[in-house]
Formats: sequence, structure tokens, C-alpha cells
Amino acid sequence: MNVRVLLFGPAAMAAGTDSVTVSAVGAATAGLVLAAIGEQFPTLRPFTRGGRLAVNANYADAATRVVAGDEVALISLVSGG
Amino acid sequence: MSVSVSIVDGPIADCAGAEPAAGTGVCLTFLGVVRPTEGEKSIVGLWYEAYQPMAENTLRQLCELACGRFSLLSVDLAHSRGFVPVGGTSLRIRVSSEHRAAAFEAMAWLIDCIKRDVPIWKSADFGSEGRRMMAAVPHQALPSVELTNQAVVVAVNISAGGIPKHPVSHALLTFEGLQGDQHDHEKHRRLDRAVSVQDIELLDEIRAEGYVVSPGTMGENVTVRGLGVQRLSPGERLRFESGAILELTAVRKPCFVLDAIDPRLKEAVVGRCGFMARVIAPGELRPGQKITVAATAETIVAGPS
Repeated sequence: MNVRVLLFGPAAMAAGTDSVTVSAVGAATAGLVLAAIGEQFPTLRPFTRGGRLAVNANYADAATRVVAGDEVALISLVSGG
Repeated sequence: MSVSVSIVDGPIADCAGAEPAAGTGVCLTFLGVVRPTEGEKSIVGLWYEAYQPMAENTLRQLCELACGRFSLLSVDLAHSRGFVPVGGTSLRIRVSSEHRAAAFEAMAWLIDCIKRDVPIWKSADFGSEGRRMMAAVPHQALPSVELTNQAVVVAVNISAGGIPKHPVSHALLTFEGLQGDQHDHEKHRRLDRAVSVQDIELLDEIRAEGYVVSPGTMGENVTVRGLGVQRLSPGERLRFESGAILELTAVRKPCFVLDAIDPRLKEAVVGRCGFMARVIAPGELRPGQKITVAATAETIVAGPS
């Protein structure tokens, strides 16, 4: 399954794009997608380390299932406020 | 409790915020202002990038949690996106509570959470020397438990009888219901109707239709997020982190009690005002607790985990 992952802030700047598509084998979970981003896009590795994955605009546990149609985003360390 | 959240383009012009809620004894306003330097260098302003609608969702969830955790009466929050020049306000938070200690504590907690959890990123604009992303705030551990898409308790509400019920920081669940909670009408004093549970998503929907409702105002004891209790069935059980367990018994039927809010409300909320439940295992309920659902009585083992 291919999962499109939205990028923001410093992660988007490093990747030079606002989204990437990763391929996950079999049933995808948030944990697997986060790991796959780092493996398939080495420039994003610094952002997956401290980063979290959001599924449908909510932070997701590693075990959260990701299914077709879900909106997935990499939330690297934030700096609002 | 009432929560208002907005993300505005550019600097926040209205630094006063909304009127304080009824019953307010303290109203505390925090303004985050763009300072003129970053490190040792002058800047012209900050650029904020937000992931919407997650930033709004997360801000709203944090404000709701703050209301429950610190027994606030209201939170009104605005955060900027786009460019905010030096001296401009980029964050405004106004909390109201009965007493000052809760307001100060809640404010410090909210700002820490915002800097850790809300998907907004800023970069400093050095004018002709370009822009640079600002240092991020590391968070400990993985997702804040409260902000995962896990079902959680948003508010625990009690009253001395009738509506509204008022959010409290915690309450003990007994077989008769929440300790300290009373029922005005005999028909409500039954073990299979000991407590009621309501989805906050439905309250948001009802409020968007123009009714003045927030956690507890329609009389539910437990307000939840991410559970979808309305879509569950009688017999299904909710297990709370403390080990407390509820069993859903019947969809709650809105009655004339709601006329006190609006005479049209009891018709408007049919099928949207939650579930009644019996208590299978007593225990403490408090905002922020995770909830798990078991489809049948057999799949749950009573007792604390």
C-alpha cells in the first residue's frame, strides 16, 4: 500500500516538497509508516526521530492502523506559540 | 465551560478576547508578542505555518483538557499564522476561573502544551538576509496520551439535582452513580441509569446549530471524545484507566428538563444525547483518562489493569 505523507515546516523545507509517498508492505500502522519515511527518504530521517505521525489530524499511537483514504502527516518537532 | 479557538491571519488585533463566562472570579490574559531579536540578530518578524485543521483540533482539545483539569469556566484562544511583525501579538489566551490559583496553573500548563503539541512551526525573518526556521521544542515520550485518537474522558460532571451539571476535576464512580451527583426525578434514580455518557463531537454539532451547550449543560455525567458512544449498542462496556467499568443500557431519551436551555432542544437532540449506563466496576473518573470498549461482557476482565 502506498501512503501519501504531508510535510510541514522544517521537514518540508529539507525535502523540498510538501508531501512524499512511502510504500508499506501489508497492513500499515502509524509506527511502520514513520519508520518507512526514514528508510525511504534519508533527508527526512532527522525529522522522524523526534517526530510523530498524525492520522486524520490526530496524533497516532504506533499501533494505529492506516487505511486507504486516511490523511497522514509527519509532525516534526513543533515551534508554535 | 466554554471553549473558543481561532487561527487568524497575521497579528492578533483584538487583545481583549471574549467576555468572561458567568461566575468568573478571575480572568487572566496572556499575550505572546514577537520580540525584536532572534539570538543576537535583529529580525523584522516571524512567519507561522500551521497544519490545519489539526492545529485547530489540537488547540481545542488542549483547551478542553485544561477546563477539566483545572475546573476553568472558559478558555478563549487565538494563534496567528502567516507573518507577524516585531511587536505584534501572535498568541492570545484568556482563561476564566473562580479563583486565581487555577487560572495561573492552567495558563502555564496550556502554554507548555501548545509549544510541545500544536502543529505550528515558525521561522524568523531577517529581512534582506532571508529566513531561518526556529528551534523546536522537544517533547518527551511519544504522543501525549491525551492527544492520540484514543477515546478519552473530556469532562466529569455532577450537580445537586437537575441541569446543568458542572465539570469537576475528578469524581468517584459508585454503583449508584457519581459521588456528589443527585437526580431531581425518581425515574432517573435507577441502577441501570446510574450515569449518562455523551460525545463531545455531538455537543460541538449541536452548538454549531445555535444551542448554548457545553459539557454538562444537557446533564450528562461523562463527556467523551473519540469514542462515538452514540454509535455503540446496549450491552457494550466502557473501561476507564482507573479500572472503572460502565455497561451501556439504553440510548438517552431527551426530556422536558432540556426546556430550561431551549424549548426546541429536546426535539433537536433526539438520537444525539448519548447513552445511559449501569456501573459494573466502581472507580475514579477524571478528565484525560483513556477509555476502551469491549463488545461483550465476556471479553472484559473486571478489576484494575
